[in-house]
Amino acid sequence: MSTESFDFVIIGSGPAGQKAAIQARKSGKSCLLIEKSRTLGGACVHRGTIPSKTMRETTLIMRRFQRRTTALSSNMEIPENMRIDSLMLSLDRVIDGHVRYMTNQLERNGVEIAHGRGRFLGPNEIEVQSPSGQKRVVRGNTIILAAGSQPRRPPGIPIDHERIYDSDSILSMTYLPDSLIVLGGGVIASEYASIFAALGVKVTMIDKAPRPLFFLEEDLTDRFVKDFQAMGGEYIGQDRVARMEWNGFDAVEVETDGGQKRRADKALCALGRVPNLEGVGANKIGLELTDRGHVKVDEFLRTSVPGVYACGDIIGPPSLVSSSMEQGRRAARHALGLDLGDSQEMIPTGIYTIPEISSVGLTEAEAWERYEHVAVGRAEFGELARGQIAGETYGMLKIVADVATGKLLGVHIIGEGATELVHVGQMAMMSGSPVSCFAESIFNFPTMAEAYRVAYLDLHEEHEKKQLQVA
Amino acid sequence: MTAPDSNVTATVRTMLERKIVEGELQMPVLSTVVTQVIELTRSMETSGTELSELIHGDQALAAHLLRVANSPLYLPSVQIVSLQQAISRLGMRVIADLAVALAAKSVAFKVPGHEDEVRYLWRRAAAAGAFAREIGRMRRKSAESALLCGLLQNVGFPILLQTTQEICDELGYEIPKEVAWSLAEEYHATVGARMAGSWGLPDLVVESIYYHHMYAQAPQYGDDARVAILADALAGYLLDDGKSQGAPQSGAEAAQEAQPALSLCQGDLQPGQVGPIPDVDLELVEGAGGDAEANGGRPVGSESGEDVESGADVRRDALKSQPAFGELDLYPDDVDELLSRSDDVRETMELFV
Ligand SMILES: Cc1cc2nc3c(=O)[nH]c(=O)nc-3n(C[C@H](O)[C@H](O)[C@H](O)COP(=O)(O)OP(=O)(O)OC[C@H]3O[C@@H](n4cnc5c(N)ncnc54)[C@H](O)[C@@H]3O)c2cc1C
Repeated sequence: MSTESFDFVIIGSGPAGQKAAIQARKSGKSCLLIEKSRTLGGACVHRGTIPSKTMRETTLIMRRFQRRTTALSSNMEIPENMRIDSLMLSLDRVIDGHVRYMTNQLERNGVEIAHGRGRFLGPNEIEVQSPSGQKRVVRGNTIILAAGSQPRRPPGIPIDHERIYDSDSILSMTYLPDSLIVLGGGVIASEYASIFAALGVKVTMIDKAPRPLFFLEEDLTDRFVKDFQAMGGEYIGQDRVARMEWNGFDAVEVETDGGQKRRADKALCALGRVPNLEGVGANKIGLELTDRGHVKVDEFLRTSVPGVYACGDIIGPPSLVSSSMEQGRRAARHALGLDLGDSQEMIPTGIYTIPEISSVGLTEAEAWERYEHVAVGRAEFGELARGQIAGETYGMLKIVADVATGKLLGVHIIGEGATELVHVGQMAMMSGSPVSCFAESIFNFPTMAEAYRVAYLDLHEEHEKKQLQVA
Repeated sequence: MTAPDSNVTATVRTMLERKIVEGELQMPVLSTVVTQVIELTRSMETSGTELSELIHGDQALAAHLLRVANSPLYLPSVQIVSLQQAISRLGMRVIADLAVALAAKSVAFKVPGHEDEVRYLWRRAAAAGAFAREIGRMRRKSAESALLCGLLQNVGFPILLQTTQEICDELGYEIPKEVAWSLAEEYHATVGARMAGSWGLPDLVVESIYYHHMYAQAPQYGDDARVAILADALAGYLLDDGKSQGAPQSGAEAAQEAQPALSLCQGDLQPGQVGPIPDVDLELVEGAGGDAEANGGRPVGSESGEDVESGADVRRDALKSQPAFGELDLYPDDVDELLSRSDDVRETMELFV
């Protein structure tokens, strides 16, 4: 078998692999991108981000419509036996458009694409097996492993994709269930739990953490839980599943260590993701892994094997599209000996729950650990003209600042548009602007961005009362 | 009866087509009980008592459910004697699937003059249903409807054979079996989909039956159609594999069973080309056993018993090289994994036959 050589060989065409490939080609290097799936894009496009957000969007439209028709006193009920795919009618169009855009971009940049499964034969050598079983061996001066992740199958949870689903299969469920048990309290669990609850499904979340999305500002998660409960949802925290099974008739039954018993039509297991290392041949080249089983990398995304980089979900958190892209680009730039630019520590978190949540920088609690005096200000969306007009009165923006320097330390938002709105705060933080900049800037009226000004005024007022000076 | 002349097939075809187009095919009707079972099991609010009362109205269905509930697959610790017990052992979903399967079998899979072939067809359908569910699970996609898509993709065959026979009787013609099968093959997807639609089955099932030979053109459920056709190919392999391993079987039985298998494989593996089967006899097929390419890459049945191993390997390789597997992101070792689940498949299959 002859061996072809490339400057870069990249395994996986998700956000991380794509950006690495484009960076390599922009620097004039030859690049082979190996993807085992029939279409490019990875989990983001086909199993995760785009499908879940498409369903969420339809849910929001229905909710808005419901709210308004209720105001007109004609209620729009969600029909019994509603088909899940009818909630995602635009999905194919969205995915097709996105895949076409990505494929064009890769082709335009001259990235060679191989449809097949990549497996290490040696540190520089990859075997590519096509779906029909044909094999070819390629060599790469640099190899970038960007094979992503897949849902974890915890022992004792009999995921059968008929009654107990994981985050990959949940959206291929045929009908909207009456009730759903969600295992987990992380981003994916909370997103699906709130979407299904908004659709009128009776949702029970069970997780070991005292509140869902535990890593977030408490103000936000409190609101999230309240809203979730208002939609009929239930959160069982600080507990674990002791037994989960299909009762053989009409329900999935769960018993927790804490003695709680629940039953539901269906269940979703969203207890984390594991790196796609199976079949990649990682142990063949002695790739070192972290305690949690992710590929271990240094700050330049180098693995323990010279010439082999890893990026994206396969190296573990934050496991976001944005961070994966940035890692892909940085890995390729490092291999090329190019300047990496400043490492971007400041990655915003966008959580597409209902309502939406977004955050950047330090939480209030984290800020108190690092600074002597911390000031916070809040703006309720209901106080904003735009919030009232749009009927988006359920939301809040919170800013966190250092009293001594006036530096903006964090922005935390819950409510529709949060994932967009957060970028204003992010820019202020990145440019080192003082928190008072929100009072001094002129924003459009009426907009949700006004929340920054309102939050600043709240912070200022609070501190005037306490006679503290925010610089 | 007069012997067929060269125009006979054309005449029969025209009449058959007319019946299809004008909706004159006698579509098998599901019993009211079964239709209601489908409705009830789809509703999340149905109680076991309600369902068992309903099923009592259909003795055949009730007896079948009891038999299944007592089968080793469900390992009953005590003998299941009541329907209520059976329902709680099997679950709503299985009840619904069994109801449709049993109904389809009794109303659709009965054709005088083609008994053996239709029996084979049904066994293969049952195996395809079981494989379809396994493929669903392997792909981490909902396995809920996969079983029905696999099971019912060829449900149009028997009624077409039956109608062809009736047309011949009416005209006083006699046509060879393989011609009748080739006519049925041409229209079975259309007729099967129409039948499933008339039974109130979900759009996904109807569309995947209609498009199972031309999945690339399916508007919405192409992957489900792929799953169905591949499950059928796997089922063909499994059933034929049993024979090539020397299961006791008379030559006549083998021939009868192979006939529909060949017919089915023809279109299965070449989407969009649902043409009549070529005029092959078993001798020819045996010869082609070593050349998957010449056979359109389809799994080929080896009846000779000679060189069984290499014949099985060739069939396995031909099976694995179906492009639709790759299109579902399933690789050759995934196909091996699916085949390694044959025992589970046989068990599920036994529920339906
Ligand atoms: C339900 C859900 C919702 C999400 N929502 C968001 C969100 O709103 N915002 C956000 O930022 N992030 C979100 N994420 C996370 C985001 O999708 C991932 O962080 C991101 O896709 C990771 O990119 P990646 O390139 O590392 O891996 P992936 O996108 O997983 O891509 C890896 C690719 O490698 C391929 N591959 C694997 N093994 C091989 C092999 N051996 N040979 C060849 N190819 C191989 C895979 O087929 C895949 O295409 C979500 C994830 C899920 C599951």
